[in-house]
Formats: sequence, C-alpha cells, structure tokens
Amino acid sequence: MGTNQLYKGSLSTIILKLLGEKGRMYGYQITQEVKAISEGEYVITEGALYPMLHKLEAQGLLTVEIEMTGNRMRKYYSITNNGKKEVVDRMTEMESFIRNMQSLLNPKIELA
Amino acid sequence: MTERKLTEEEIELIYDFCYERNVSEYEIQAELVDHLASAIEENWKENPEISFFDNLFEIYRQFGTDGFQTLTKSKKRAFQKQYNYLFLKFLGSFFQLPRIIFTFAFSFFLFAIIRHFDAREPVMFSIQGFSLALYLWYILFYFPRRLTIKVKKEQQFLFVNYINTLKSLSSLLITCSINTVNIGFRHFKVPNTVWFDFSLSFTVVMLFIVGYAFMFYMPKLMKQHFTKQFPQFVKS
Repeated sequence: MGTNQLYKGSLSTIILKLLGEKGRMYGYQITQEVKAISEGEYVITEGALYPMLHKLEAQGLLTVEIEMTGNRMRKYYSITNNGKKEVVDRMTEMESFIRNMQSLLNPKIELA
Repeated sequence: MTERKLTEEEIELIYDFCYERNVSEYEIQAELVDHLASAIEENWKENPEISFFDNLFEIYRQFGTDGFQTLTKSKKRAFQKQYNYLFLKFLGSFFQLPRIIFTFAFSFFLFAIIRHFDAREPVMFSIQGFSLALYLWYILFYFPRRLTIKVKKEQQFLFVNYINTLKSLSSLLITCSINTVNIGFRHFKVPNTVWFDFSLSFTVVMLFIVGYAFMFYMPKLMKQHFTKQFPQFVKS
C-alpha cells in the first residue's frame, strides 16, 4: 500500500488547513505546496484534488474568485468563516486520532 | 535563459483538447486549462526541449484512465448540490419567521374565500387562469428580457444550462398543476370538508412559492453569481 493511501481520508483537512494558513490558492499551487511541505512524500492527484475542492465549495467551506492571469483564467480558492470553524473542529479530531493511533500502535509496556 | 511560457495559441489548443475530451462547460474548462498550463510551464523549467504536445499528453496521463471524467462529474454534482441547497434554504424560509406569516396568512385567506362562498371549483379555475396568464407573460417577455444570460462567446456554461433547466421545470410544474386540477374536479368527487379545503389552499400557496423559486428567485440569483464570476462574458 502506498503512503498516499494513508493520507486519503485527510485530504479535505489538509486542503482546509493549507488555505487557512496561506490565504487564497489555485489548484495546481495546492498540489505543489503539499508536495513541497511533505518533501515529495505525498502527491495529490488531480483526480482527487478537484472533486474535493468542488465538494468543499458546495458545502460553503471554500469560496472562489476567478481572475485573468497572463493569458488565462485562474480560479482561486479561499477559506470561508464556516471553513475556518471546520478546520478547528477537524484539527481537534485529528489530534485525538493521532494520539489514539500512537497508543494503539506503540503500547506502553509496563514492567511488573 | 528566459522561462518558456505558453502562447495564446497554445492556450486555445488546450481548450480544444479539453473540449475534445467531453469537457464542454467553460467553468470546468477554465480550471483544467490553468492546471494543465501551469504543469506544462513547470515541466519546461526542467526540460525545456520537450514539445508542447508531448508535455500536454504526459500531464494528461496523470489524470488516470478516465481522464477528465471524474473531475467533470464531480464539478457538475457539486454545482447542482450547491444550488439545490440554496433552493431548499429559500423554501425553508417560508416556514420560519417572518415569512411563515405570509405562508399561513395566504393559505387562510384562500381557505376563507373557498369556505365562505362554497366555491372550490370557480376559485381553483380562476387560479389556473391566472397562473397560465402569468406563465405566458414570463415565457414571452420576462425570461427573455430579464433572466436570459447573453454571452459574448459561443460557449456552454453550467450557469446557463441550469437556468434553462429551471425554465423547463417551471413549465412542468404549471402543466402538472393544471392537469391535476382539471382531472381532480372533472373526474372525481371532491370532499366538502374543512381539512380538505385547508389542504387545498395550503398546496396552492406552496405551489406558488415553488413556482416563484423556479421562475424568479433561482435564475436571478444564478445570473448575479454568473455576472460576478464571469463579467467579461456578459453581453450588455
């Protein structure tokens, strides 16, 4: 199983967190930023990124602006106030998940 | 050495490339073209010798076996979901203050007329005539002048397609309502009870609210969103 599989369920959280920190970004920029932050460990595929961006936009967690950049149109995504609240909730969930996984996979062995 | 950038012609070729792969709506095309163009220019930084088409096909391969299909479907689904939600939110507002007063006041008003004059049939046929006249005015004058989005370029847009779908749905709503009233009153014995009359009045008011949402509220809202997102395409 590739490492990407482990990240799969967290894609929306990663996108929301990234947009919360960096401000507005466009699709390709998100893929490159995630690749750079994870030092090439996690590569978001186009087939996963755009459906997720569209879903988050439909849920009102992201908003879009369309601008001309050079000779082409560019769609920028930014986080809404609802999105910011969602990030806080998801980060709490994520921290709790990581703690639980650590407990499950690295059980403390107590010596009698 | 200066970085190689895509020319206007090459951008047009990418639009054609998307169109040939069944991406016909501009909202989806524009996002895809920017993604492909950014990736092509990034590849050229490392490998400036690679041709435009080899570069394009290499990036297209990264979209997987079904190409742009997943992306196209997801965008259409998300777009519909977004506007269905706004539609339902609008309908829901008629069951919350202050609009709930309007919903029940009109229902009671209609109910009072029907009961007072014992005139279910004349009232229903008058409403039918009024709806038909309103619908003709809408189709012949209001929709073409106020709600049609005139675009500068021969191009398909999700917004335009959805507005046209709403127009078709309003036709369906009017036809079904008129036929139901005709069949109901001509072929069935309509019960003369308080509950039936109130249900009838309430249904009529609800149909008018749904009709208003299909015919005026949603197309207007979508036209506003379209104008805000794509002002360069709006023909004045």
